[in-house]
Amino acid sequence: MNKKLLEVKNLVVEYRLGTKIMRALDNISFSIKKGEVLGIAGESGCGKSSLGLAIMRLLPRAGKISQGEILFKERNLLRLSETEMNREIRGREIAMIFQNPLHALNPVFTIETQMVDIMRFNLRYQQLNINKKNISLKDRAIELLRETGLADPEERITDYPFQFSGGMKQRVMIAMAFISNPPLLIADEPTTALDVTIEAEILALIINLVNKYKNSVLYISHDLGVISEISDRVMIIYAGKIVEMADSRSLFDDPRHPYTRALLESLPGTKTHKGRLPTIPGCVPPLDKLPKGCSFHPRCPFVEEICKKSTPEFVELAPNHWVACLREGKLGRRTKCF
Amino acid sequence: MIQENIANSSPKRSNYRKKNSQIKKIASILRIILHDYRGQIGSAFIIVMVVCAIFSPWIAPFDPYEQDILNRFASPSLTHLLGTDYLGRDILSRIIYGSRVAAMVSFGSVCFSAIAGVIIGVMGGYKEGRKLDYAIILVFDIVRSFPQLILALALVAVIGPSVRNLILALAFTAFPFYGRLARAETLSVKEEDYVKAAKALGATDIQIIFKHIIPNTLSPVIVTGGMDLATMIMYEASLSFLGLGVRPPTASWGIMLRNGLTYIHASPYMIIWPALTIAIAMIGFSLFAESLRIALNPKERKLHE
Amino acid sequence: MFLVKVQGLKTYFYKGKGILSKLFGKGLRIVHAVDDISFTIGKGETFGLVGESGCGKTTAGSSLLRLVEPVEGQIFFEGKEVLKMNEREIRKFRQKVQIIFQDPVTCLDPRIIAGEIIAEPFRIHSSKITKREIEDKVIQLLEWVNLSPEDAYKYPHEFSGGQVRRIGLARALALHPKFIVADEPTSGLDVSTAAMILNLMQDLQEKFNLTYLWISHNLNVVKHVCDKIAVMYLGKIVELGKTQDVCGNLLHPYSQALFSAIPTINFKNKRKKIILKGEVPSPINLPIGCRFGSRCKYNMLICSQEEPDLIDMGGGHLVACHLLVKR
Repeated sequence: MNKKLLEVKNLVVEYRLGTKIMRALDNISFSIKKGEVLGIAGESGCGKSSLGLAIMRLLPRAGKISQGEILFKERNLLRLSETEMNREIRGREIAMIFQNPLHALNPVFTIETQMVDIMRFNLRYQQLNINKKNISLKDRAIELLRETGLADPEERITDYPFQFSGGMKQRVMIAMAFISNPPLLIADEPTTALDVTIEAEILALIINLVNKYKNSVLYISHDLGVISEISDRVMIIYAGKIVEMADSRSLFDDPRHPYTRALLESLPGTKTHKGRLPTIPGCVPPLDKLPKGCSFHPRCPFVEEICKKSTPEFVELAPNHWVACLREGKLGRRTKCF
Repeated sequence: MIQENIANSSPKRSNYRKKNSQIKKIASILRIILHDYRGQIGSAFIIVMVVCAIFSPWIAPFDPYEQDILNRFASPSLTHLLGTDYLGRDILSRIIYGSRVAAMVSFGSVCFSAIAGVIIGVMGGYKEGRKLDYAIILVFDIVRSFPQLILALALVAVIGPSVRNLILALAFTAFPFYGRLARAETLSVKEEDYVKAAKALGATDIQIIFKHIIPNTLSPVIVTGGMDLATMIMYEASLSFLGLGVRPPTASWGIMLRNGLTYIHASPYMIIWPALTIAIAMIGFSLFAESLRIALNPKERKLHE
Repeated sequence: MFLVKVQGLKTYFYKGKGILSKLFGKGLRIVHAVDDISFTIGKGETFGLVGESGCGKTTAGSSLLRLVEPVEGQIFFEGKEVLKMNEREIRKFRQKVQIIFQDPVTCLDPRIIAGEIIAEPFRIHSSKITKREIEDKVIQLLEWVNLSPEDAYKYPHEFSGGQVRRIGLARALALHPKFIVADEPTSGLDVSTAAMILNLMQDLQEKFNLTYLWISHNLNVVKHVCDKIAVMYLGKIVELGKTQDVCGNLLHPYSQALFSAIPTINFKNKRKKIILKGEVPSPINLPIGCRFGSRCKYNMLICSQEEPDLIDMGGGHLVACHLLVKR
């Protein structure tokens, strides 16, 4: 249980646009244990999606992993060839679900064709189901769909993607991701396009599947509420750097980084009705023009001279509560408002 | 309070005026065209042709109508760079003067057909599903069902050959294509939120059409227009070749081809030079149109900014 | 004193009107987007319309401005019947009523600079206004929404999500409207940006005594800003009342499920989520009886026979559910 499934060490991802070099991820290190859900939260453009893509080695052409290691089951994914990634990792050991299921399903084939196709060429699926040879692929696909809570899968499996609603498509995507029962599932904002009631259903579904199969999940979202509901551990990213990482409970109950604190305070509906919400002044700096020192210092209410000069180290304040802030000790406990 | 605001903002206002965004945009389009080899070649050809057309009396070494019977079918030499034709007229001068007709007909017919097509097409698209729209589509389809060249031929035969009639006839055969294009674009632009927003502000249909719909339908029309310039040069040459374009003594590339065909055994130069000119002009315009298409793509423009 | 009063508003869309679908198709199908809703909005109030996608809340908003023509019903604005206005009166009415669209990027013409976008209302409504006056007004509007005058000559794609919202807001404010329909004004924004827009909209409301119809699926936001809330399901209002009444005492089973599903970061009292079964029925073939009946855990016999009416549970808290009549 304590064995690290995925370990990312000093990962740096850079995008090259013309002459500009933008550091989307700067020196990211973390690990995921088996059966753990790690939530990654941050504002748009902070690099959280690049992280998921970097692990899958699916970064767009302009993006490059310029430093670091990604160890998955003690194998460095960055050393594998493209064919090895395709044959052994992607969709086999690590599966990914995206925000927009509409774009991830091919509109001209039925769900059955698409699922059976994946099974046929998935070695891991065949190894896992070696003793179930007598079950047809279609039946197995139906079984998977039923597990994701799709109503009468026997009928629906012959339908085309456009005949499904958004929530149902996301269920199909999850069923496809679980074909090979991947040890690691990367979910990139899978519920952002969905309504709250459907979102609750999908979250419950992911939690159920994880409890049952003990998969690890890397859950990327900008919605702190969703992150707090699903994650065991949470990592907050700001401008390509991890600013805080802790158990879900201790992070949301006692945030130690000014940024995390400001984010939580700006959520509406938690405190007063109709009052002014506290906001973070300014906006996220563009990645090619990051300020010197701590990248959050121009917006930080607790800024001091030292913040403008030196970059904060990532330190363990409390057991398993890591913060990258120079004033980490002085921030004091906050009066709880939730 | 308001006064204070105005006082505060006066230096800023001058700033707001100074930056003319439209010029900035056109400049960025031109920059892309000039950075692309197709654009460089294409615009060079177009500039040469337009300069020849405008300044032909100064550029041409001889009078294109001056006959020199003693010097018929001369091969290229230092005096007559491209040789002379069956009446001893200088071929180079005639080609330079011929660019006048070619430029007038191609630019004229493209402009007329594009303007007419956009106005009618946008009207139809905006009133989609009404009787007016059906009538407009019907007219478009009837005109489009004839081959362009044959229809132009018939029209010129009826209204008589002249540069003006040639332009009108060619414009008439081409406008439904622009109309269709503009109508299709209108259908999609009309559903955009910013059109709804303008409606919510109380804008009238005319205001919406001129402010939002026409500017947003223009870029495919401009690209098609660029491509059509080349086609129109060819049509003008074809019609003149068949004797239904401009009237003979006028210098036109089509007429030169026709004469060249008659005397092909006496002198090959009479047909080689005009044919080559037409081919080069068409390639030039096509290249230009291609780079224009790229430059008008907002994504490309963003990359070059 | 109400500003807007809606009575029995119905907006339907017709599918399959063409000849071919008449010959081969299923014939005329009616999409009941908004089906008989009534509410009033007082001056200076913020009225929240919540519901899931496809429940008709956006259509209801555009119907109020007659951007979509309703089939039936009455809309009163300052005592005047909106649906009986002619072209000229409608144009006048639209000076007083504005809409902020769901997608902030597509509602701005990509070929026009921000300053011109904001100036558009002036050009539409007053031909006498000089260039200088327009410029002054644009600069002032930009200041009101916390943008700098330099932003006037940028194109929409050069702005960030929050700034684009501000431009839409500035354009809406240009003619000093009294009533603004805000369709998902904070969707797609990051938390801190959303908070800024929320603050800004509340400040503007105070400054200009605006009335908002706030359409959103984000219940946290609606709870925060609205004085009154109406919950919509399949084209109908199922629960309506003051925010404190509705949020403090959810009565309709659908509202209960909807509000329980909001993700929270509150570890102390995590609500138990009510997970709904099945899918929203199609608005073309409406179920007989209560529209929520098929997914409701309290489903009774009467629910599949009769459609419940809105009944007052005290203090203007209206609920449409058979369960409450029985009690």
